[in-house]
Amino acid sequence: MDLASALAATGSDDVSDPSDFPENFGDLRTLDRTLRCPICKDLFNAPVLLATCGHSFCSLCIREALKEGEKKECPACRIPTQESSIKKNIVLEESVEAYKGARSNVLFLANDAVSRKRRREESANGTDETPRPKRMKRQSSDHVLQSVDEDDERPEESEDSEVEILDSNALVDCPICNHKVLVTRINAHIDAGCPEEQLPSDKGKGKVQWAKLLAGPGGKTGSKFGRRGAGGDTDRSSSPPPRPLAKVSYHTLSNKQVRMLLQTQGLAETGDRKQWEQRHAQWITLYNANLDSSKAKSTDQLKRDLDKWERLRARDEKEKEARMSRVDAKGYEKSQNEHFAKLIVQARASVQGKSNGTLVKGEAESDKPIEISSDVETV
Amino acid sequence: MATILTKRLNKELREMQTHGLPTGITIVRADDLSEWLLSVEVLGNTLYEGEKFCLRFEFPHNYPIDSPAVTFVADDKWTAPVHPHVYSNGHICASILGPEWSPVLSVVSVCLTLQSMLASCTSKQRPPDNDKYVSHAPRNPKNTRFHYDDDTV
Repeated sequence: MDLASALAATGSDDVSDPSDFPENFGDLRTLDRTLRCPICKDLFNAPVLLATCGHSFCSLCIREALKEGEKKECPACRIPTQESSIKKNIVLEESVEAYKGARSNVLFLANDAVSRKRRREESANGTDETPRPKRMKRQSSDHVLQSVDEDDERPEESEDSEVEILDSNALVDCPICNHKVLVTRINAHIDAGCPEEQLPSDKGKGKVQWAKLLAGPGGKTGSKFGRRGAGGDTDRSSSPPPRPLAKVSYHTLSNKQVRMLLQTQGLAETGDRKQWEQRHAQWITLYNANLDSSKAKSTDQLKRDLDKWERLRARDEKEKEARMSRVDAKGYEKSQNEHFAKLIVQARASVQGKSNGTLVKGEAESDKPIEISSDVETV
Repeated sequence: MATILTKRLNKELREMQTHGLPTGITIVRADDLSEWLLSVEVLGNTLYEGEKFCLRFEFPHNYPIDSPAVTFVADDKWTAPVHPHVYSNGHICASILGPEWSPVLSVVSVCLTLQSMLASCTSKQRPPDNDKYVSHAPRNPKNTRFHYDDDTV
């Protein structure tokens, strides 16, 4: 299976990576990298942090990792930990969600800036004194200061035209009189020959800003952020949060009890006991990881995920078996013929030695390791 | 978890192709999800100057949660380096490939570790139990339970 078709099969065409950003935007690459889970290298999905060390991972990734390893430790720093130390990382999730929305814009701007710079350098032979990336940065930080708006992708939205369309309450410097002017008024202001502008009073401005903050990030910026808006938050505060499912040690349970576990979770009871246990254990992992997401999936969706997991797993097992059976037994026999012959001679010698009662002791002992399981080796 | 595997390997490959690989490491073959080959050279003044080795990575279906099976290729084209922790069949005794594996490690980081393992080698010799091990070794080194006792390299 080659990489591209495998990727298409999983239905995910998104292989975003920090290296998407142009080389001279090192800080953007760093930003992109820090918002990725070190396990799946994807942008954090339902990020959690380990209370024992403070490293963050996707909830599902860290749960899988802790399930697999013999030792329970943080994958990043190896400090011992356990599943109960997994804590939701709310701010990180919000940052990642905001970044997901902003990423394509930032990426476009960065690439655009690079191609522009190149074009300019080609035409003007490097007479440009204000490289574009710098200017962008200043403007966006100005914007944040002025409008106290956390959606930092907004200032860049229309960067490719020379006029910035900032937040409608933002202030800009008039290029002629240098006074602060409301961005919505700037054109009229210049047309009228720079009259004194009525700025919103500080008090009023503060009110507007507070109203904006309280309305939540979903309030104004449209559907992209609406999902995470006030609605979700009130849901959470009005009903008690669902509790995570406890892990089960299956070996103490009878078949009937394991089936009961599946029934209470509404899971399928097909397959053998091993499959039941794996299905239930995976369900607990998926369910608990889902609790850490603010955009929690429905139970039905989770069950579909579980089905998918099981199907993929079955396919992997099958592929593995197929690979095993493809091993050329005849060829192996041939290539190891000499070795087999040697072993037969050794074995005969040792049998003869025993039956004759006169045994060269050293030889028998040198044969001994061959009978020991080859699994245990020392270096 | 096949989806994590696909995405993660794609990302690693992308990173290698755009960022470039560390000095001395090149991709020999990486066109499917089950097996990658990378060549490793130890540059500078070391015992392995001028030698080039090939590492085979085989990925389990739950990579990166589970460690990849990493061996030096030993066939008619490539040889395994002579090193106290490398068997002549290419199996490597290194804890990060076994119980010390962590999902935050990657193909490149494993290559770098093994490169530095070779670079810090002081005497070129096979492991003391090489012949005994090689004659009984399982095909997959992950089925071997190594005993890690040397912290110097």
